[in-house]
Amino acid sequence: MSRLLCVLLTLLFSLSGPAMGANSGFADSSLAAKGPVVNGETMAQVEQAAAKIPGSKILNDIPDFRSMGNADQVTSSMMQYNRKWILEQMRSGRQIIDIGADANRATPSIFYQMEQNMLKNYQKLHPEFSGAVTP
Amino acid sequence: MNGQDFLRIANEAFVPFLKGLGFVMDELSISGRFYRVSFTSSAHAVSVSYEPGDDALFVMVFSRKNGEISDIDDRTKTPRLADLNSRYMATVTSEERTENEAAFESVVVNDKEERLLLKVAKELRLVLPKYLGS
Repeated sequence: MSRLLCVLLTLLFSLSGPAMGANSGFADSSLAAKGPVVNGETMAQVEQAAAKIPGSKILNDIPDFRSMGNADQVTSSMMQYNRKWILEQMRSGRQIIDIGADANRATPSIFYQMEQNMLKNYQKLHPEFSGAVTP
Repeated sequence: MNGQDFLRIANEAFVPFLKGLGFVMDELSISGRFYRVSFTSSAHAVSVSYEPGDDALFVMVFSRKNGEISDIDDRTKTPRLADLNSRYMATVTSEERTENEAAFESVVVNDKEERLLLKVAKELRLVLPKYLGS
């Protein structure tokens, strides 16, 4: 029970705004002047969409965790990294462009689902956050 | 399969036959969520990508015009391997299949993801020439 409480508190703090994250370096308002963040379900689509938007940023710097553990550890490390990344982007003030799900995909991406939940929850806690826009 | 394994199989299984079709390997991107290699010819580009966390593999054939590649969501101009398979696989002869298997004999695979990558290389080798010649 206490573990669950701890996890919930961690999530609440991690989704909290600049006041709590002031020292994190994520809340640099100068980033707002930079290009948008592009996210979506299938990375090849994200890459092509971002190539058309000068200065845009995509998640392309996750370490290759495949070399660092078993399947569960790899997924967990990737999820943790991805979650932290999308949170940084929401706090950065950059516009977030969500190109959406890939209708042709056989199985939904668990990473994209997580990003969608993070965006939704962040917006609930920070009504001033405009959320992701669709192209 | 990690990024290096992906690159090895791209070199051993894809490069030889794509080179024979006029493609050159021109881009490689390896990050934790996305391994991608692409091959370009004067009129087409082939993209092979794998998303390790989701265990999802994509093979797409783009058209190129004036240096621009076709829209990834336009499946008439950017067919995926599944589209090419459904269009052309029925026309593949048993001789072509036998010859195709022999072409990949030397490629070593070590796990199910690598086996899947090899399988799509074999399929692409069978159907891509028919698509390019159509």
